[in-house]
Parts: sequence; structure tokens; C-alpha cells
Amino acid sequence: MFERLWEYLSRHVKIAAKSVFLNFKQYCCFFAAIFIIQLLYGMMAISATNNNTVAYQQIAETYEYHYVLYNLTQSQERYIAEYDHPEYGITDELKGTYQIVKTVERANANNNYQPEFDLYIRFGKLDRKTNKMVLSADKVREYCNHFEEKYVANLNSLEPKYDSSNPNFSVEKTLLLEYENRVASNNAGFWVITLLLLVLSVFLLMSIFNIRLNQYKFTYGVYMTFGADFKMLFMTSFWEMFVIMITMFVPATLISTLVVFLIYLPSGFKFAFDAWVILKLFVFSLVVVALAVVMPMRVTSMRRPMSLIITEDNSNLVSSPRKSFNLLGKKFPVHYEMYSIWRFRKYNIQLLSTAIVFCALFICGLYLANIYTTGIDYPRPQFEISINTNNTTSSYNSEMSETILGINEGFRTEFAEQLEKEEKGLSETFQAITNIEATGNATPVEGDLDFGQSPTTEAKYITSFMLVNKKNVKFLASGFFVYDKKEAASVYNEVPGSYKVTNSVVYKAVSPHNADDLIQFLSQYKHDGNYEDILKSDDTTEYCIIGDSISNISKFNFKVGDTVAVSTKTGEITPVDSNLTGKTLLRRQIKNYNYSYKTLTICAVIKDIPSGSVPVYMLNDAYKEVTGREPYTTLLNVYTHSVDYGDDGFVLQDEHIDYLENELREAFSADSRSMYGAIKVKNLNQSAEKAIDEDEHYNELFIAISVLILCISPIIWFFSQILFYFKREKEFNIIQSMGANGSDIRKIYLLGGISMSVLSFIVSILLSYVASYLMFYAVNVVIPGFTGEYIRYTFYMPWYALVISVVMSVACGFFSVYIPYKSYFNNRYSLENGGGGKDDE
Amino acid sequence: MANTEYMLQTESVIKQYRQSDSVITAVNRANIKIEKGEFVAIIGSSGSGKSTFLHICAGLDRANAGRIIIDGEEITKMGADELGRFRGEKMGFIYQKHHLIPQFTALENILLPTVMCNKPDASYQESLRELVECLGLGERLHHLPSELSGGQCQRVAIARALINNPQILFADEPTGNLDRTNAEEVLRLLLKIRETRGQTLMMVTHDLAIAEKADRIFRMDNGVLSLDRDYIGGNKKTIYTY
Repeated sequence: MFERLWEYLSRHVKIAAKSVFLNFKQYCCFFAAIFIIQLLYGMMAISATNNNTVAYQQIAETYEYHYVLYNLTQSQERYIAEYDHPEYGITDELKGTYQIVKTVERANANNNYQPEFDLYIRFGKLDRKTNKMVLSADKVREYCNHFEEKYVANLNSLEPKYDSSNPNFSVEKTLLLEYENRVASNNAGFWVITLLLLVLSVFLLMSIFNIRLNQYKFTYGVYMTFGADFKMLFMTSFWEMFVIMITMFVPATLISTLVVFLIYLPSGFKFAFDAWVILKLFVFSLVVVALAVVMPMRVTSMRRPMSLIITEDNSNLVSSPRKSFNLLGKKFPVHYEMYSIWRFRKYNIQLLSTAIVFCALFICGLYLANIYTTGIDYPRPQFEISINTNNTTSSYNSEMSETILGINEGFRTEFAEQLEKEEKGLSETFQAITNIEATGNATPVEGDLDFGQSPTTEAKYITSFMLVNKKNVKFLASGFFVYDKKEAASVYNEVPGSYKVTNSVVYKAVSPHNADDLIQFLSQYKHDGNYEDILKSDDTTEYCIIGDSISNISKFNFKVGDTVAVSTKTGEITPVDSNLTGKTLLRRQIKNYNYSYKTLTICAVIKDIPSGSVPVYMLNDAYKEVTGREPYTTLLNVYTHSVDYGDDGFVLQDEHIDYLENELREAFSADSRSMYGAIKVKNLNQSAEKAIDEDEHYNELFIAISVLILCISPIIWFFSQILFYFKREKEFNIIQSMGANGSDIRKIYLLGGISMSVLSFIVSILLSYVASYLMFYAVNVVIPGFTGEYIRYTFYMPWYALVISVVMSVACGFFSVYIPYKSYFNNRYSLENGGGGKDDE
Repeated sequence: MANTEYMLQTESVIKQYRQSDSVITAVNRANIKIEKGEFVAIIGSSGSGKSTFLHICAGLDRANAGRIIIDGEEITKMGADELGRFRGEKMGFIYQKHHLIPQFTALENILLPTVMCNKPDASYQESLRELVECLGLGERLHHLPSELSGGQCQRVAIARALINNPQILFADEPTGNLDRTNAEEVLRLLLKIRETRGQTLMMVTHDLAIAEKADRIFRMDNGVLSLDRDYIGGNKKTIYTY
């Protein structure tokens, strides 16, 4: 069995190796392409493995606990601290699977100053010899489940027995516990990128393979004459590619390892190489090689051998140059070569599009790197404070805001020494907590980060919609349907004109006492109009501040003073089919339900606010009227100092975050906060997440990958043009026999080079712009549609990348003709100086 | 029903090309029946459609209509892959130009059909030895086509066509590119081997002297195939059209 396999392999590989190495010039481009493909994937695979390792290192350094129980009463704390509870069926089986690594104690003003505890739990198995917890990644999840089932689930049932209920109690899972999820998410990302790279690599290799196939159809025609079927044709090419792949495998693996090592080196990453990467790279290369060959070979095998062989018989007439010959008399060779560009239009289009697509991908890569960095630096809340919605007193107010921001003073005192070292005297001014964002009413806001410091209600969840005058809707704006003029008149006739209707709207409440926060928040965006005075007055329920975008795309051209109408459902004529969605549902709702309308005059338009739906800010009374809800604030997002906000160089460390977390918890447990009832503080771990994201170095990796992708473009240019002009040499010889001289041929080459440069200049600018726009659209609209996280990026052309791409294309367009030109004239002169072929015997 | 006594049968084979607005009929309802072991020559002027007909018979080109049966198998019904395998198994082909793969040596070119048909090494050794000896290629086996003369190249092409010991051999003006001496020598060798092996030969030529050596001569005129001479029945010249 093995002998037969070995014989089969050695026979095919031997033939393929001979074919490849004896005709190295024909295949050198494949060596380069496969090397780049392996390098690309090698870098990705190595980084992905390392990122899992680096993430774990970071997390393990930040957290020594998996689970936190906040605000426990004494009896609850005892229940956890004393492992043994036979009355709750806790057996010896999993006893000692957790350890309390830290206990924080404070007095709870809400509960007669009874002590309150935070317990920090680490899961693992106790090593009885060393008395230390031994971590076993696969068991942690099991231990956690057991802990939740046997311990946490019983905590509230303890309370009626010992104390009053404990509404403050909350739990939190740290990144150490969620590490597996992060790995799973990283791995999913890795496989998506693998798939994308696979498509890209197959496209690249197939493009080059097709170029070669077109030039060597004859060989395959001969193979088919003598019995080759698809399988044989495929195997012949596959083994050749396999030989190249194997040859480049070791250098590509070594260099990709080195590149990744260099990328990670500045952050002091301990480099770890996973042997599985080699297997992954091998399998990936094998699949790419097989897929790149299978399609062209299938197409070839469907053709009749004569149609392939005939290309060689006619190769001295590259394609019928009948018309070209007619042009010989007219301004030869300019007209002749201009016509040749048309004559070879299929080839030229194929070459330009294929080669320049890789320049466009280079721009996409750099765009992505830039956006990735922006995404990491984008401000996200570090803490989330939720307020019990059942308590009418538990709404956010300015006093609470002052309390939270007041923590900064304590922070400056606590870390005065560190802050004093900074040049700008940060101990006086430093704001550890930079912003509080308050939202409320707890209506689910689908996947929206919900910026805007206001109680929020999504229109579609209360069967509401907004009528917009047609003139305020931009041309080709989608996501609407035209609300017929006549139909509109029957339900809403306060504003003349025809309407468009959308329910991609979020209503946001604003009260004069949080107006300052809102103004500060909105001031980071471009806007028309002046909202400050209006917000500070209680008599402005007829006014609104409105965004101009849906899903980050500007869809409206609102002006200050324009009006919109928002609807409130007042009753049903007939029920609406619950299976309907989108525009159909909205259309049916308008028809089947009764609505009352409130007309709002726009006092300010916010131009670039990131949002999935159009934000409509209105005063509390208007909000209550439209949504039928009290504008309570129930959720606070607390933002901590971000390094990008200042150039002071002070970065919050783990100890600072710990301090702030404790202070926040203290603030809501202290006696002065008794009026708020149940308040839960949650650490969203953004600081740690950001540190991990930064250490993953994806932006540097994207740049490295982009540069590699750019290198593919010249390979295609030179390989394609050299083969093409090699075939045209016979045509030039014929032209010369008809009277053209060497100078004419030189001009033909020159014109060919210049025309390709001009065309590539135009095409590369166009493709670069299209690529940039597509990337912008993808990150601003498509991706947020899936993730629900709306970050507003502005469109830009990465000029430096564009210049590199255009210069590269123009240079390749010209110089890829120069090499065959030199080769042609060198050979010609060598023939004239005594070189020659062999005559028949 | 296909008759297995015939090595090749064609029925109303038509091949047309579209050129601008006109349709050119290269082969017009061609019928031929060639018995096993027979040598048939097709003559005709340039552009008469004889090479096209030969290519269609060998399955190298596609007919617009008609049936082609080789050794009882209708190749016009075969898919590309099946036809490829069938060609490798039963047919050999010699082109006017030798069409050797320039990157391969003479020996590799000769062995190409064995590789394409996955023949085990042992199966063709005898055939190779015989062909090399007969065609006088022993000294040139490891030379590239560019290092061989035209006559030598054509001999390598003949060896390549015969290495799998095909039952029917198609030759498209195999000596068309050679001078008289070389042409006669190559033809002599080709016919000698064919005779030894008892293979059917269908040859296209415009050289009457070469065609005279065939059992039957067909003439192709503007795509119409007709029997020109039949030497099987005692050198009696018969002319008729199908």
C-alpha cells in the first residue's frame, strides 16, 4: 500500500519538479505568489495563536478571581465562606472547588448600617499539599456552574430566614472566567479571516494560473490528445503547484514567524510558537493550490484539444491583426499600437483589473488598520450603574451626577504623588471619571449603545413612527416608503405636502436639570441651530433636536424651523398580522391603527451623531406625551479617563480602576445615598479589554498584510506582460518583414508601456476610491448592523496609500513592458551577431 | 447498431464554422467505414476540410451533427473526460507539425501518453524498446526538441503516437513539413510499424505518391468526402460518392 503510494507520489512529484525547475522562468511568479500566500496565512495563524496566549497573560495578570459577589449581607457572606451546607444538599463531591481570594466589608445605610460584603471568588481544585487552588481551564466552567447552582441560587432564599431581602446583591463574572468565550470569539474571527484569505489566495493564484494557461494552452491540448482527462490535467498542474508550495513552505514559515515576532517585540510579548500552526499552514496552502487549479483545469478539460492546439499554430498571429495591417499605412506605429490596445482589450481589462484589485485591497487593509485603532480608542464606559426601576425616587439627578464626578477629588488626593510627577500639575485638575451617560425607561434598544444621556424609547417598540416632509428626505434614501398624499390627508393633515414615514427613530427625553450634560455631550458633533436656550426653558415642548442619519448614513436634509410629526398609537381598528416585518408591517400599522400626532419644530440638527436610528430629543413632557412613559433614568454609563482625551500621559492602571470601583460602590452604600434604594454597580472591564486589544497588535498585522498584498500587484504585472510580449515577438517579426524598422518596434513597446501606465493611473484612482468608500460603508453601516455598536467614522481617502498604490500601478504598467522590450532587442542583436537556431538535418 | 468489424464508422458528419455573417461548411455529411487494420488516405486541396474531418474522427474537434463510432463505441456521445480516456486507450495521433512539448526530452515526449493514461512502467517497456530501435532514436532520447532536426522530431512524434499501442492511428500530413528524403524515410518507418502491429491508419495528405500506398483513397472536396480509389479489390480503380 505505502509502496504504491510512494511510487505514485515520487513519479508525479519527480515529473512535476523537473517541469518546474527546468522552466523556472515560467514558474518564478508562482514561487513568489505562493510564498506571499503562505506568508499571509502564516502571519495570521501565528498571531491568532499568540493572541490567545497574550490575552490569557493579560487577564491572569489583571484578575486573580473568576467571580465576584457584591453587596452580600452577613448571613449571605457566611453561607459562601462556610462551604458545608448539608441542608442544601451540598456534598463533598465538589467541596473546595472555589476559594475566596478577597473580602471587602462596608456598612450599608439602607440596612441599618449592617455590614455588607463583596466576595471575590476563584475557582479551581484545592491542592491539599500546598493548600493552593490549582487552575484547570476545562474544569473552571464546571465549578462555576456548580457554584451558581448550589451556592448563588440559595443566597436570596436565605434572607427571609435571617434578614430582610437584599435587593443590592449582584454578581459579576470576570474576564478570567470569560476567557474561553474570548478564545472562542478569537477563533471564530480567525476562521472568518482564514476564509477571506482563502478566497483572496485562490483568486490570486487562479489569476496567475489562468495567465499561464492562456499562454500554454498548446501543452494541455497535446496532453488531451494523448488521453488526459480532467483528473489527469488537474493532477499534472496540481503536482507542479505542490512542488512550488513545498519549496516555499519552510522559508515562508520562518519569515512569517520572524515578522510576527518583530510585530510583538515592542510590547515585550513572550513569543510562543504553536506547532499546529505548521499543519494549519500546510493544509491551507494545499487547499489554495488545489482550488486555484481545479476550476481552470475543469474549463480546459471541457474544450476540444484542437481548439487549444490551434492557438500555437496561429501564435505568430497573436490574434487576427487584419485590421492592424490595414493601419500600417496610417501613422504607423501609433495607430497600429492604439488599435492593438483595442485588439487585446480582453487581456488588458483582465490584467488591469486583476493587478489593480490588489492595490485596492492594500488600501482596504490600511483603512482597516486605521479603523481598528480608532475602534480600540473609541470611548466606552468602564462602569455601569443600574437603578431599581420600581422605585419612583430612583432616578438619576444632578445630585447623583455631582456625587459620581466628586470621586475625582478623592482620586487626586489618593494618587497625588503619581499625578504630581506629571508635567501639567495633574493633581489639581485630573478627571479620572470623565463623563456620565444616563439612559432610562429600560425599553429595549436593539443593539444600540444608546449615546445621549437621556431616557430613551425606540419608536418601533411602542408602534410609533415619524412623518417627515418629502423635501427633507435626501434623494435615494432608503428605509422609508412614500406615504401617499391622499392617504396622509386622511390621518394627518396638519402639515401640507407628501410624507415619508420611518420608524427607525429613538425618542429621547431631556429635562432642564440634565441639559448641561446633554449640551456637553452633543457639542462633540457638528450641528446646525442652537439648542442650548431652548433646552433650558420649560416652555418648549413643541421643539426638538434631531439627528440627520439612519444607520450612520445621512438621510435627511433638515433645516432649523422645519417640522416633523411623531405619532402615538391611540387604538386599533383591526389587528395586524404578527408575522409582518419591516416596511410591510409599518404600512399595515398605519392603516389598521389609530394614531394621534404631535408636530415638533426642529430647533437643532445634529449632523454626525452615531446611531442606528434617528435620535429625536424632546423635553420630558413631550416625551411623556409621545411615549406614554415617565422619563426615568435607570442606567448610568460611567466613562473613565481615556489616554486619547489628553496628552498628559497619565494612564489609568488596574489599581486606579479598582479604586474608582470601590469608591462608586461606597458612594451608593453610604448613608447619604439611602434615598436611592437598590443600585447596582457593574465593572464592564473596558480598561482590561482595551489593554488586551492593544496587545493583540492587529493594526500592525493589518499593515503588514496590506503591504504583502500590494507586493502581489507587480508579480501579476510583470508575469502577465512578459508572457504577453513574448507571444507578440512573432507579430513584431512579421511587421518588420513587411517594412517596419527597429525604431517602429521600439515605439510600439513604448506606446504599450505608456498606454498601460495611463490606464492603470485612471483605474487605480477609481478602484482606490471605490475600495475606500466600500470600507467606509462596511464599517459604518454593514458591520454595526450585525454588532449593534454604532461608531461614527468619517470618510477619508488614505492619501499616502493612494499615492503608493497609483505610483506602483503606473510604474508597473510601464516597466512590465520595458523588460520584454529589452529582452526582445537583446535577442535580436544576439541573433544578428551570429546566434542562431539549428537547421534540419 | 454499431458494427464492430469496422474500426471507424462515420454517419453524416457535418462541421460548420460561422464567419461574420456567413456559414462555412467544412465537412458536409461525410460517411466513411474503415475496417480494422486498413490504411485509408484522404486527399484533397488545402482548405477542403480533410484535416477538420480527421480531427473530428479522432475526437479532437466537435462535429455539429452526425455520428462517429470507433471500435463499436460512439464517441460523439461521450463526455470530455470519457473521450479523453478513450483516446488515450485506443487512438494515436500524429500532427503535421510534430507538436512536441519543448520542455521535455525526446524520451519524455514519447512516454507522455503512458503518463496521461497512468500506465505502469512495465507495460510499455517492450513497446518503447521496439519503437526506439525501429525509428533510430536511441542516440537522441535525452535531447530536447530544440536540439533535434525536423525529421527526428517527427519520428519522436510517431513514437509518441504509437507508445500505447493504439488500435487506430490518425495522421495529419505527417510528412508535410519534411523534405522528400526525410518524408519517405518517416513514412516507411510509420508503415512498417503499423504493418507489424496491424493497426488501422487514417492519414490525411496532399501528396498522391504517399496516398498511393493506402488501401483506399478518399477525396475531400469542399467538405464533401468521396471514395477516389479502392485498391483492396485487386488494384481496380473505382470511383463513387456516398
